[in-house]
Amino acid sequence: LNGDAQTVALLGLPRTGKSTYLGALWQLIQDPGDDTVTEVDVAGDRSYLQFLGEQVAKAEEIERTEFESEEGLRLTVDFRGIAHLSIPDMSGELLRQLIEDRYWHEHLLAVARDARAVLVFVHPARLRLPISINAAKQLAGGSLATGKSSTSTKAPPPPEFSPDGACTAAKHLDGLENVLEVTRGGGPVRVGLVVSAWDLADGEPTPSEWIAEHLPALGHMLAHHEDVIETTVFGVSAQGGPLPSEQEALLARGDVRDRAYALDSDGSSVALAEPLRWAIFG
Amino acid sequence: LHTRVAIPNGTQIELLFTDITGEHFERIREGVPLLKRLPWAERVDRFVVVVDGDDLSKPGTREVATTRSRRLLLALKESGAVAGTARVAVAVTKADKLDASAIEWFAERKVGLLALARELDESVAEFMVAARPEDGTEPTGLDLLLKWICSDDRNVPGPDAALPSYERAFARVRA
Repeated sequence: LNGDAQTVALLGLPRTGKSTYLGALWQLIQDPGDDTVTEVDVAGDRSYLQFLGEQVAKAEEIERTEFESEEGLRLTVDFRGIAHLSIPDMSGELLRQLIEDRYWHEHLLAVARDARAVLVFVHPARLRLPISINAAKQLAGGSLATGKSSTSTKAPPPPEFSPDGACTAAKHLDGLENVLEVTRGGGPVRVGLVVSAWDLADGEPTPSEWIAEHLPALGHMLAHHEDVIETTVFGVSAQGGPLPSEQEALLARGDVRDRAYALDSDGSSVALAEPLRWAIFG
Repeated sequence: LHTRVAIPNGTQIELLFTDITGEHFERIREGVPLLKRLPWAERVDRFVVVVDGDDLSKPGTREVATTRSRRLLLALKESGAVAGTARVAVAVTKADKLDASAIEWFAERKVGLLALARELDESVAEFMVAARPEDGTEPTGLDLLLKWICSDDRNVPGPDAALPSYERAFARVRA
């Protein structure tokens, strides 16, 4: 592979669809019937990609990426523009560890330092939404209006703060701040938000509106740092539907190219490779 | 299998069929250079890239089967092991397992495979073979495949096609 490969960091907490996206992408790269992205350099070790691609082609769920995995996608592709790519498939555990344990794993640190762009994956079914102070007090048995307990029994003391209990947006804000701190400079860094398993969120107006509704803090943070961050949102369904419940129906729809799809921030249909193409070329 | 066969015109042909473990091809598909695994490939006269008909018959594995064959063709191309005199064929085995929908599905994908194979051999051949049909009927396609293997139709490039013009040579010699 060319020595000046551009690194795109795929970030996301565990089971947010990073490997599935890579597997679907690899199938499309190999599919002569899909000309949105083609393989230029066919040499090099493809065993891990073959595994991911075949799992997606069989409409099977991909197991979690191993903690110490250093696999990923390293190849030269043509997106109507040649790119030498390195896309490490890091375990979501590494980001979780950074956020919750305040520990930089050396692999994540190395990738963050090399990254020219970041794609952040969020899964609609794995969100932890923030709880308002009012709601928290009500849950704790207090009444915000009176400031008095609604019962005669004393409310239990609030639990100790722990980062693992934080909401999804807070975790991503914290993780991104850390990652962007070490990402090499030289201009704004592209940070794409990828809502994976979009088939679960479908029916929402657009991916950008989905972020505004479900992860507004993250959306605001990215949108209001134009001097250092260039951002957009995508909705991606790499399998085309939920697994394993829809496996047979998905396979009946055809190949990966027939069932995987992606939307841009406005909800317009784009190629599955578009998030990656945007990360490289803008 | 090393055997000597006689074709209808009486010519005897030595055939050496390789039967090596599929693990080699798995590694080649994954990117190990073909000649590193199969250093004798440069001496091969006939390459038959096999597409597993059993896998093609099922929606869950047909895309995988086609992709695997495609990667073998890419590995062959990348290796430069296909001599100018060698021939290439794409053969679907266990063809008796394909129903109409599988045949229709493969017809479109076959175009891509054959286009890639044509880069290795302009007159690429294609076969549908059922050597041992499940219903116990006679084999189909096997005779055509064997005929192709034994035919004397090796691609021979024009003798002067690759030679540089002597007018640009550093020296001329006479033996």
